[in-house]
Amino acid sequence: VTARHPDVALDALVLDARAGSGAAFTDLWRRLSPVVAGYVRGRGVRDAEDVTSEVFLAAFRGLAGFDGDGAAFRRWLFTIAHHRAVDAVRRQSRVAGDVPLEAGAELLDRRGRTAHSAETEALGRMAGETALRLVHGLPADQRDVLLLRVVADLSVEEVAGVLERSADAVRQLHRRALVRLRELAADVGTLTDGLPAGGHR
Amino acid sequence: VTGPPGLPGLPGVDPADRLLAAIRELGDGPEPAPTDRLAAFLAERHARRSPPPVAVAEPPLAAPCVVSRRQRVRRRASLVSGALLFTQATLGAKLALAAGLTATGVAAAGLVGGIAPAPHAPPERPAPTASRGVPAVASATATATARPARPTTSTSAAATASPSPETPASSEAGSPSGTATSETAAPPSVLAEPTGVAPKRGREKAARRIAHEKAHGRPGETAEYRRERGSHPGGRVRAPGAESRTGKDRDPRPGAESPGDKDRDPKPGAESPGDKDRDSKPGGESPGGKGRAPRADPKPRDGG
Repeated sequence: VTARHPDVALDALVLDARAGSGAAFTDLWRRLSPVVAGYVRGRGVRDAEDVTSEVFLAAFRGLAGFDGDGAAFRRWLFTIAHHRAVDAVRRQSRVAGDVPLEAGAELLDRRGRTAHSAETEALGRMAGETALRLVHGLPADQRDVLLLRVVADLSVEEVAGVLERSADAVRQLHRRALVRLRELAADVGTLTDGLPAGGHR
Repeated sequence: VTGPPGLPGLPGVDPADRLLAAIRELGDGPEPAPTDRLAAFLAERHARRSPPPVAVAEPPLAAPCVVSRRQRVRRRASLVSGALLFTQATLGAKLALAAGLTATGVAAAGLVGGIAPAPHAPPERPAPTASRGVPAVASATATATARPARPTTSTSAAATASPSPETPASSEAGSPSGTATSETAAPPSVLAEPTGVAPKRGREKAARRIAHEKAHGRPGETAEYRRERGSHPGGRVRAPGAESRTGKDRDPRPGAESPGDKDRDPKPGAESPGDKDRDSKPGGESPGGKGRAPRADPKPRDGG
């Protein structure tokens, strides 16, 4: 997994935000909130937007005591997001009892708004929902590792720091998650058969 | 490999990779709507005056040698004073050798202590009170300070800044202010003038003067005044008829009555009026020991 976000400007943003720049806070939100929301959504949180806002609010309020560069801020932000997502899933599991697919539907809604064509929209919805279904089919620890490695684009060591595990354990979990994902991908036809193609909102 | 249905991708690509690409796109969605709390927080941050961006600290190219003007002046003054001290010490040693002074004389003259003799100072200066343990310079200065309080009229020569060697006693003539000298004298470092010359001859003269005073009294003193003053030449001056505070200056002769001891009971053990406030207990504060702190007995002596 290669780095998708060059953090050259992220360091300056974090420095400006630490200095109290309001524009830097907004830029950090615009830059990182989609990734955090995707991770929280992938963790099965229903109100992913609210949890994402809470994550950023906690990070911004604690930024005065933070010392590090952009990469460290990303790691710290996903640590907060992980804990908030775990808490949110526990709360909603006590209420509903199961992880719903509304998060995927919400994602499909938002992706559909930015799609340029009906075909792209349909394909995107199908891919997103299928990906969510496959991810939700993974064990929780494998899912966490996979989301943090793929969505959050963290390294093995960074994931180990977020999940408070060893790097070897994270590598093992990541390998098992990929094997499991291949097995699920072979059966994805049966998973997507019951979904209406593009009609789900 | 065309991939599983529902996962769009390019033909020939591993379906797991396409699945990973779809998972990765979970984080590529649009910016979520912030909650009210976060929006309020961001609005508050924007309302504040944005500070200038934090500049990345660059290492200095060379170690700067920034010296303020005050530091430069201090350094220069320190160098000049050090050079002056060295010159004074050298000159003082040479002068001392040339004059044949002893080491004590040189030290007393302040030649090696960094105190240079003032150019207007007399070559010699007697130390009238050196025999009392008071530093010569300090006592001379303090004596000059206490001069206006002298009641005698023979202090015209003593009022001058440089008393002549012929009249060393005149500076102390009629001066009962030995106590006043010690009371008004400031530390030598504060009031001492750089007289500079070893008062060796002055010591001898002072010793002769003191011996002469003990034998014949001070010049200008009357017998009545000596009797009032008692056995202590430097005793405190009292008005005739005043009570003795310490009782020390009572005439030692049994039955003798001094003007201030009219009310004194001649019997031994009788309490005089001046001894009322004397603390007879050990450790009690006496009127003479003004600077001594009263000793508090920390442990009660109950005998057990």
